[in-house]
Amino acid sequence: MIEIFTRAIAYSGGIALAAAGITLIYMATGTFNFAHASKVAWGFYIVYAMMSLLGGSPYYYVIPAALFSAFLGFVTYFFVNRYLLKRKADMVTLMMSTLGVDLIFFAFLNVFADYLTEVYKLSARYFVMELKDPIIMRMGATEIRAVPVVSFISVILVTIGIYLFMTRTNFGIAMRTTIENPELAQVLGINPEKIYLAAWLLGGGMAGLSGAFLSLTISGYPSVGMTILVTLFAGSIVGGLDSIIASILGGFLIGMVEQLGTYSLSVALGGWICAYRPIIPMVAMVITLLFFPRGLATIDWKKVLGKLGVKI
Amino acid sequence: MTENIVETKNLLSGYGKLKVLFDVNFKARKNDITVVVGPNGAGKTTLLNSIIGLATIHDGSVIFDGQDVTKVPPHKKAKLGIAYLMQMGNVASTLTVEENLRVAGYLMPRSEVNDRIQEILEMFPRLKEFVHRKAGTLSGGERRMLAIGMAMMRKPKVLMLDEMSTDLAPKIVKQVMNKIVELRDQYDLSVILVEQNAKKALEIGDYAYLLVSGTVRYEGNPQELLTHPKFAKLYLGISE
Ligand SMILES: Nc1ncnc2c1ncn2[C@@H]1O[C@H](COP(=O)(O)OP(=O)(O)OP(=O)(O)O)[C@@H](O)[C@H]1O
Ligand SMILES: [Mg+2]
Repeated sequence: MIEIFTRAIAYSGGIALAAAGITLIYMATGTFNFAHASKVAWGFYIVYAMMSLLGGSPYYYVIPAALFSAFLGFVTYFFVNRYLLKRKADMVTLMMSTLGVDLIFFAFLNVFADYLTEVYKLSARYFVMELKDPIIMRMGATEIRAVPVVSFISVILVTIGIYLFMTRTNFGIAMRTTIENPELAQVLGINPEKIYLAAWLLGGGMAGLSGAFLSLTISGYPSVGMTILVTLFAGSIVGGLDSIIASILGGFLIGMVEQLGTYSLSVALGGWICAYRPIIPMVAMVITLLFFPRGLATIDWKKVLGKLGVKI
Repeated sequence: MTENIVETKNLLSGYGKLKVLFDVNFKARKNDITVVVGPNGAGKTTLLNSIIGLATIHDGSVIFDGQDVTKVPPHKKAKLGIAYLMQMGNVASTLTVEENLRVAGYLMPRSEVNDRIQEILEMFPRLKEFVHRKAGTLSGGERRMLAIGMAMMRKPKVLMLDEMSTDLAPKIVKQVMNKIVELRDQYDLSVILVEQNAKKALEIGDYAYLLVSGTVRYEGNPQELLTHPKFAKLYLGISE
């Protein structure tokens, strides 16, 4: 039972980081980014390939995974998104273009997986890395591995980091200005292209980070990003698409509901339910939006906590 | 050394395919207060938008300090020394008052920003009480004060002010107009003033333009425009 719970935390942390990236890119550029799927999947593969070839702890390769996906974010912006933004393309065009980009990244990922298989004889088309994650605690027969703790701490650090960046640095304040009112930002001397690029780099980096942590939690295969994309979008939308902090919360909640929900349902109804797993985040999203149509960001938390008798 | 800080030559501009200004030749001399008046929809804002680079320029050119800057994007024009108080959307409502002033000082050396914010707050004591409030929660007049403060954060070469007196009490308008004259006298500031409140603006102006339906109908001495037998009454509603 504890294992189910810790695994859910590790998974939700990964989802939260990637959902935050989707929201950041959407807020800054108005682009709903499907290419996030393969950016997360590349995170899996960077950790897997580097660890298999160079050895050592998987945690050595978390930063390289983040950097590589940040680079993919740069590629998406520089070769595609930039031109569409200049032409003031509408939201649907922006979104569909990222689907195209995703398929290209996905194709390269398949090539990479085949290359690892052919040349290094790795089973790169399907792998499980959970056992490479060190055990940090034993409770009787239950083993607790490092990733739930690392993933959770990373989520907290990223949340604090984003908050400080957005409110304490000139560049962060410039980013918020551009998000709200690009014309005003330009008149004040801010180059919006710099802001868009920063959003793609940061968003990509968070996708890579997410992939790295998820690679120690669930099994890896080239289309793994597409499998979890539904969950990522659900998390981002539940967050309200207009607050990065809320999307972290949204991603985390959706991840927990998906993991714990699938587990409880399979205990109650049988294992066949696991095939319908992606429906759970969708249902959770619909239910949240029925109660809070504009997502978690618009909830007056002070009021909610006040009703529960908590004073802040 | 050129005499004109800003100049447009045969400007044909608008938004996308729409054309708003036709063959506009506009000059703002260095150290002058150049006033632009005209009825609603005449194209006054579009003239300023064309100068900064937010409008579509179909033909003609924009000259800044002797340089052709027709194709230079707005953020680079800001760097060249143009500050612009827009008529609408001139503060970021999700940012606090202090953050708005800080971002208005984006191009300034960091060490000067805090002092300058204090100076602006001295100028508008009303804003001082609200430094940590989101700009979206300010009243119309308070918001306008903040926007004026933001336009004055840097020491620009040209200050373009679009309808800055809207929403403001007459006393504050007078104070701000005096401040503008003072700044102009203190250092090499040139001002382009677009005003609905034509009388007050023409009184402090050195040179004036009357825009009607996207074309220049009058240019010259502001006093003359103010007492013009036809234009004053027809377009500006000045009757005495
Ligand atoms: N962003 C825009 N997109 C399309 N058309 C616009 C835009 N802004 C203004 N226009 C049109 O351009 C014309 C001139 O508008 P402009 O704002 O320059 O007038 P103005 O002289 O500043 O008027 P006011 O005194 O009301 O501010 C108007 O007919 C207006 O409908
Ligand atoms: Mg106007």
